[in-house]
Amino acid sequence: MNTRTWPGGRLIESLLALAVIAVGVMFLRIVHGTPPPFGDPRDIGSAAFFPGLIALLVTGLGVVLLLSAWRPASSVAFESGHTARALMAYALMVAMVVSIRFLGIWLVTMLAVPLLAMCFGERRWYVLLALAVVPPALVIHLFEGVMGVYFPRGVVL
Amino acid sequence: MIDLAVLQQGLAMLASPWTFLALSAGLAGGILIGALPGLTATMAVAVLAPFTFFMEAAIGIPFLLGIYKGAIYGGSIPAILVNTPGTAAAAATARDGYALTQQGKSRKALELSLYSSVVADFLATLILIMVAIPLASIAIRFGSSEFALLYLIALTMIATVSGESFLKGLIAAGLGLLVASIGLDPMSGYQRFTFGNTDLLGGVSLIPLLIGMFALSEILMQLTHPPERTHDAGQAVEHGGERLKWAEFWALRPTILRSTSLGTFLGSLPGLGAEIACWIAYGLARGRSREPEKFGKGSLEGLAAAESGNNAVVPAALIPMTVFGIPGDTITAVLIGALMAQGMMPGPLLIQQNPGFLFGLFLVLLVTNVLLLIFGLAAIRWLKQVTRIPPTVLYPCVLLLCVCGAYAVNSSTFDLLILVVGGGLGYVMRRTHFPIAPLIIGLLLGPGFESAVRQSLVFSNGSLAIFWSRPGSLILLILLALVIFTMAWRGLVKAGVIRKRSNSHPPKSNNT
Repeated sequence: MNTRTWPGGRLIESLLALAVIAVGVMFLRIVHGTPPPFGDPRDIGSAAFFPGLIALLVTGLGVVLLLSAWRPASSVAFESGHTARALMAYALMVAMVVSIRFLGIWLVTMLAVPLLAMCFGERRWYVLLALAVVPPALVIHLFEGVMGVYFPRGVVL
Repeated sequence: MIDLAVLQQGLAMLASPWTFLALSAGLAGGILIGALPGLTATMAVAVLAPFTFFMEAAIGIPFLLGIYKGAIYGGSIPAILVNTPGTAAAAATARDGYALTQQGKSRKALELSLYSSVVADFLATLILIMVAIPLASIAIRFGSSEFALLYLIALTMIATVSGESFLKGLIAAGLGLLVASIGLDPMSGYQRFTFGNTDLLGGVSLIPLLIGMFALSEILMQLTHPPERTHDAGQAVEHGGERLKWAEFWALRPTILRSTSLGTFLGSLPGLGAEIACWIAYGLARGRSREPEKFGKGSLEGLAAAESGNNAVVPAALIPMTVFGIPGDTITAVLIGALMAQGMMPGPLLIQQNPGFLFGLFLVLLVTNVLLLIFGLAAIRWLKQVTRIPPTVLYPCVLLLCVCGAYAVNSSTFDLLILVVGGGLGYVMRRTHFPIAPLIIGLLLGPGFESAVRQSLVFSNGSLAIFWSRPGSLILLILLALVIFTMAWRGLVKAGVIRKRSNSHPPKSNNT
C-alpha cells in the first residue's frame, strides 16, 4: 500500500474521542431534559433508563479514549491516502441521494455512475457513455420490472 | 421425537425448483463476487439482501446463504491465480496457493482449495445440525436474565476480537446500542430520539445502514487506498499443470479435519470470522506439520488448512444465529436482518415456530456443498477472466446497486439518507481503525438486550441478584467472567507483559 503514517494521528484520535463524547452528552441531555421526555432515567421501568445508561457508558469511554490518545506511550497512527478523492466521491453520493427526489432516478444515476468512474480515473468517453446508459437501464428495469419497486421520477425524467 | 410434518415441510423446501434456482444463482453470484478483489462477502450479502424481500423466505434465505458460501470460496481463486485475495478470508490461501501457481501447479492448487472447502463446509454443516437443536432446547428455557447475560457475553467478545483496540470496540458497541434505542421503546411504546420524524418510528433502517457501512465505505476506501498492481498480478502465470491426485488429498485428511474443527469452533463464537480462522488454522497446521519449512513455498498442507479453516466458519456462524439469535459475524448480522424482514425472529423461537423452515434450511446447506463442487469446478476453468474487471467499471455499478437496493427496502428516500450517513460513518470508522462489527451487532442486539435487562430488573425490583440467583444465569455469569479474563490475558500478551510464541500472522483487515 502506497500510504504513509500521518503525524496528526493523535489529533484525529482526539477529535474522534470528542465526537464520541459529544454523541454521549447529546443523548444524556435529551434523556435528562426538563421535564424528562421518556420518564425518569433512574426508574428501571422507564424508556429513559437503558439509553441513559448506555449514553453514560459511551461518554465515559470517550473520555478514556481522549486520555489514552495523549498518553506518552501511545502510538496512534493514521494512514494517509487519497482522502480528497474519497471526499469528492462522498459529496457525489450525498448530492445523488439529496437530488433524487427532484431530478429522478434516471438522470441522477446516469450522471452519478460515470462521475464515480471518473473519480476512479476513467477518462475514455465511450466507457463513460456506456456506464451512463447500460448499468442504470439494466438495474432500474430489474427493480421496476421484476421486483415492482418504482423509483422517484423527478421533474425531468 | 421427529415430527413428520416438519420433515415434510423441510423436504418440500429442498425439492422446490425455485429454492434450487435461488441457491444456484446465489452460489454462482457469490463465487463471482468473491473472485473480484475488493468486493467482500459481507458487502455482497448486504447489497443483494433487498432482492430477497420480494421472495418467500424459503427462496430468499437460501439465495443469501449461497452468496455467503460462494463468496468465501470464490475469494480463493484470485488468491491462487494472481496473488490477490478476493476476500480477507482468503489471505492465508494466497501464500501457498500462489506459490503453487508459480511452480506451474495452479490447477492442483485450485482443486485442493475447492475440495478442502467442500469437505470443511459439509462437516461443519453436520455439526451445526447436530448442535443447533439440542442447544435450542436449552435456550428455550432461558429467562430474561440469561438472555441479558448472553447478549452481554456476545457484545463483549465482539468488541474485543473484532478490532485492534478493545476500547474502540466497546465504544462502537455502545454507539450501536444507542442507535438501536432510536424509535419506539420495545416495552412502553414511547417515541425516543425521533425528533418528530415518522421515518424514525420503526428505528434506523438496518439494511440501508448495513449497505452504507459495508458497501459505500468500501467504495470510498478503494478510492483512498487504490490497490497497487503487483508485478505478479500483472503477469499471471499460465493456468494449468497437473491435477490433484487422490492420494495427495487423502494424505491431507488430518490437516483438513483439524482445521475444520478449529474453524467450526471459532465460527461458533460471536465475532470471530473466516478471516481470523484461516490464519489460526494455517498457524496450527504449520506447528503440527512434519515439513513446516515448506509453508509459504507451495505447501499443500498450508493451502488445505487455510481453506478448510475459513469455509468451516460459514455453517458454524449460523449456530449462535439459529440458537440464540446472536450473529456470529457481520454476514450473519445481515442474514438476521433479512430474516427479520421476512417476519422471522432468529433464535430459539425460530426453531419453535418455524421448525420446518429451519430443517429445510439445514438440508439446503448440505445440498449447497454438492452445488459448490459443481460450480467451483466450472469457476476453476472460467473465472480467471473475472479478476480483470477494472474498478472504474465495477464500483460505479456497485454504487448503483447500493442506491437501488437501499431504496427498495421501504421505497423511502429517507433510507437513502441513512445509506449515505452509514457510508460516511463506515468510512471514518475504517480509516480510524474503529471496528464496524460491534456497532452493527450492538444495533441488532440492542432491542433484545434492552428488553432483557429491563425485564430482569423489573422482575427483581431492581436487585442485581437476579443475574446470579438462577443456575443458568450463574453459569453465564461465570462464562462472562471467563471471557473478560481471557480478553484481559490477550491484552496483556499483546502489550508484551506476557510473552507467547506465535506461529500465525494475524490479518490486518476485519472485513470478510
